[in-house]
Amino acid sequence: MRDNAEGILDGIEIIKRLVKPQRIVIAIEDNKPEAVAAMRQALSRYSVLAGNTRVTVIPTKYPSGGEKQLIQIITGKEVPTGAIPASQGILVQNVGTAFAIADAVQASIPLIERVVTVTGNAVSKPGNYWVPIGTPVSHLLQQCGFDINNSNQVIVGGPMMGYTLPLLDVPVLKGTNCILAPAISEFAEPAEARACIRCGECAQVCPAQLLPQQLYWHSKAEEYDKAQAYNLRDCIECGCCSYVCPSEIPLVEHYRIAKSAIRNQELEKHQAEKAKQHFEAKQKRLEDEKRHREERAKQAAAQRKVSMNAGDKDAIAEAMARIQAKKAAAQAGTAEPNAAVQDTNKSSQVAAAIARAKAKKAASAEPSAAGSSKNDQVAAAIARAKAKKAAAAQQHDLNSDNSVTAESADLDPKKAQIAAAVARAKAKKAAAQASATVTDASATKAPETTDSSDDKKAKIAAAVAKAKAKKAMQAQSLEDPAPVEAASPELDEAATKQAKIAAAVAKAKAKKLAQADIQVSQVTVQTTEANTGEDPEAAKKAKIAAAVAKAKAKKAAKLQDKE
Amino acid sequence: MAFKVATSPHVTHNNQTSKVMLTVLLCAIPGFLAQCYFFGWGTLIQVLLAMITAILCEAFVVKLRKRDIKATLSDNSALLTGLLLGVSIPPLAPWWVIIIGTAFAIIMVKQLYGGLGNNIFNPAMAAYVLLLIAFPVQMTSWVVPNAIAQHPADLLASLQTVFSFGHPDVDWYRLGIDGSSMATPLDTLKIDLSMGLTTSESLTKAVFSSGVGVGWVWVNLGYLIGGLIMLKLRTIRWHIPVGVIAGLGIAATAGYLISPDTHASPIFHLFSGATMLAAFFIATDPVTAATSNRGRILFGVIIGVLVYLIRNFGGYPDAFAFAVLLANLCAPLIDYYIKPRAYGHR
Repeated sequence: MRDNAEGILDGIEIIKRLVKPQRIVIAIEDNKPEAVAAMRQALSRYSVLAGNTRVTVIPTKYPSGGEKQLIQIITGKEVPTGAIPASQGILVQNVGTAFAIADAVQASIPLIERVVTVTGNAVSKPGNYWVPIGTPVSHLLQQCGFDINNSNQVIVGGPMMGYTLPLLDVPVLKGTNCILAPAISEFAEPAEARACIRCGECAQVCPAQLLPQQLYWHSKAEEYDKAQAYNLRDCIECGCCSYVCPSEIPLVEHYRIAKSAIRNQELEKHQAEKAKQHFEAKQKRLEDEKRHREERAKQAAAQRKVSMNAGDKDAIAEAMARIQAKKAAAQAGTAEPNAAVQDTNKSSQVAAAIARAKAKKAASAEPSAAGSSKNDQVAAAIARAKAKKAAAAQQHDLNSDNSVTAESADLDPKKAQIAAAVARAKAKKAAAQASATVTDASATKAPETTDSSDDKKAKIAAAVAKAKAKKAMQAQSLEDPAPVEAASPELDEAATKQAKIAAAVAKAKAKKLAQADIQVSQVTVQTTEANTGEDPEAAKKAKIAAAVAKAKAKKAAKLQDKE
Repeated sequence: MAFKVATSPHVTHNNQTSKVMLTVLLCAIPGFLAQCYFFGWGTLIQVLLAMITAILCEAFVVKLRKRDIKATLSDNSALLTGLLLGVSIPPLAPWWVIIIGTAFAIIMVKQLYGGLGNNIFNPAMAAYVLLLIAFPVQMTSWVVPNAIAQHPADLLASLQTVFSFGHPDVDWYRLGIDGSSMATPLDTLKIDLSMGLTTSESLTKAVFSSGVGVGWVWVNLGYLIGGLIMLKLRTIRWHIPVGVIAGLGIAATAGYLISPDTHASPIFHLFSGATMLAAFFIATDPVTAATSNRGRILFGVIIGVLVYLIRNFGGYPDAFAFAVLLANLCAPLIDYYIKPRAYGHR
């Protein structure tokens, strides 16, 4: 200030133009009278600033250089905690900053050097030096006559708040206001901290009017929430409390540790919060994706269903019919089917389908078929069982000249399909119930078996047929109830009892179906198709279908038994 | 070369706990001398006994706690406790009284709570209360002030009395020390008032002189001087002593104005018993006091008012030990509710 008062005032003028303050106060501590005189003299010649600028002498009392403390000394106001002086309409700037502003604006010199105070008993030429920023501290000290043998610490900043340098190969920074190189004997070795006696001297000197000993207790005990309750963050780390402490407790050190711990805690908390948000966002995204996937699957399933109901159905039905025809053809070589076929002709078209199946069975088991001619139902039972086997065994045999084929071809495709399903199911059931008899296809055993159980089998067959018809209808063609209706009259002819049972079974089946997933039913249908089809990969499906059919058969059998 | 890395501040005030304690000890000398002058060698014997016991007990516990004995003893706090207890008990009390009291103060009240800085109660006053309750006869047999005694006890007689096992009165009689033990002025006044005498009638007794107890006023003045020196040296702050004196003085003035015949004058209260000793040396123990300035004033006032109440309405003649302990109990509460407004806080 003594050397560059004009430059400082130039800077002040620039600041004044920028912020248009009501009043400008240049505060100088009362132990620098020359600086006060120089500034006052310069100010008296500086007419632009003369009006509302004054030089105020303040008592030399550490830490009056602190921004908040300086404001309190000059204005009596306090900067609210957590706020900046600007909130009170006050701006505090260093004279060095003012000078640098003048340099930058008027002379276009950027901030490349600053005044550094070099002092301490370990330097022989202490003083204030203009030092280019970036100058190594070691070089600066060397220029000032630093006696390295008489020094064990070098401090950047003042004795109260400065920090020690572990080594000297560091540059002067724009904030390096002072380099303190005390002689070894100059500063006392810090003594071992003793117990706090709560004397309260620290509270007497604290410029922020905190209670340092309470802060100390809580910081030491890592009760950071309590330390914060005592306004730890208002501590400016000026070091006054440590300075006066009779127990030589490094209070500021404790506060720094506590502050950084609190900062870390807050950081961790923040990060945890962020991680949580990320996690939640991810969860949401995954759930959305899952939902979308499911929706797409549903849509696809619906589409598939629609296409099945509409376009594919005919194709399937045709395929089924073909298969049926093949089976029939395979069985057609034998004599008896005509009778069965005629019977079915008399009955409804569904009955015809059943008859076909029966015919097949009959075809594969001639003697039993002969016996069964007396009783269509007995024949049917055997025929169903046989049909399956025959179909499996003689699929490749494509001899076809039969009236059955013609009739089945005449049938409505849907009905044909239903018939096919019914036939398959019956075949399976028959196979399950009387496998020994049926699989042999022996002439001797079959008649006996059928004789003994013909009624039952017939009933089962009828019930299953109805159920199948219903199921097929529900699964594939809800819009076409005709087959079921057609099925009922057919059953009238067979037996009223059977009709009732069939109705019950059909209802149960329908319920089950309703409960079951659409896809499952579709699969069932498809596998049923595959069962008879030529598709090589349908082998597995065929097995599944067989299993399903067996299960159904068992259930039907149970019902039957009850009856 | 590697430089020493240290945390700021790099300079400290030349102000140490041991020096603080030593200053307090030294500032107690005027009052202590007055006490010795008026009540004989016994006081010195008691203080020395107390100090030795205190140091031994402290060393013992610190060793048990595996702490640095030398560092702990060098803070002089044990010596101060010994001094305060030593000057508090009757000068010719048997030796085992002061030893039990000091051991209790150091071991139980101070070290078991964690040593210096962690004790809740003032060690000397807690020990005093223990002794007063445990040994009421020994603790209330104060000697006749030398100024009015016809045969004051010399050093040898004092030693013999202190180190004997018999009843004090018997010893004193055997040794030819003046008559019998005597109640303190506070005790005398209390008894007289309870016997229907007025204050002025009671004050005509030999133990009183110009309205206050013989010798006691000088003892109190001695401690007042020491206290003022401590204030000047900034060893203590003014808040607690002013609080104590103001609390006691205002309460006593009020009582005296209401009923002068049954209440002693404020001067009597302020210069009787342990008033100044307690106000400047005992209540100012920072460890057990409140910490903020306003809190300390309140702390002092609580002690002063309690002393007056107990002196007038309680069963014990002097009340500082009880008052200080009760105020010690209040200190954390005071600290909780009275916090100074920090910078920038409304």
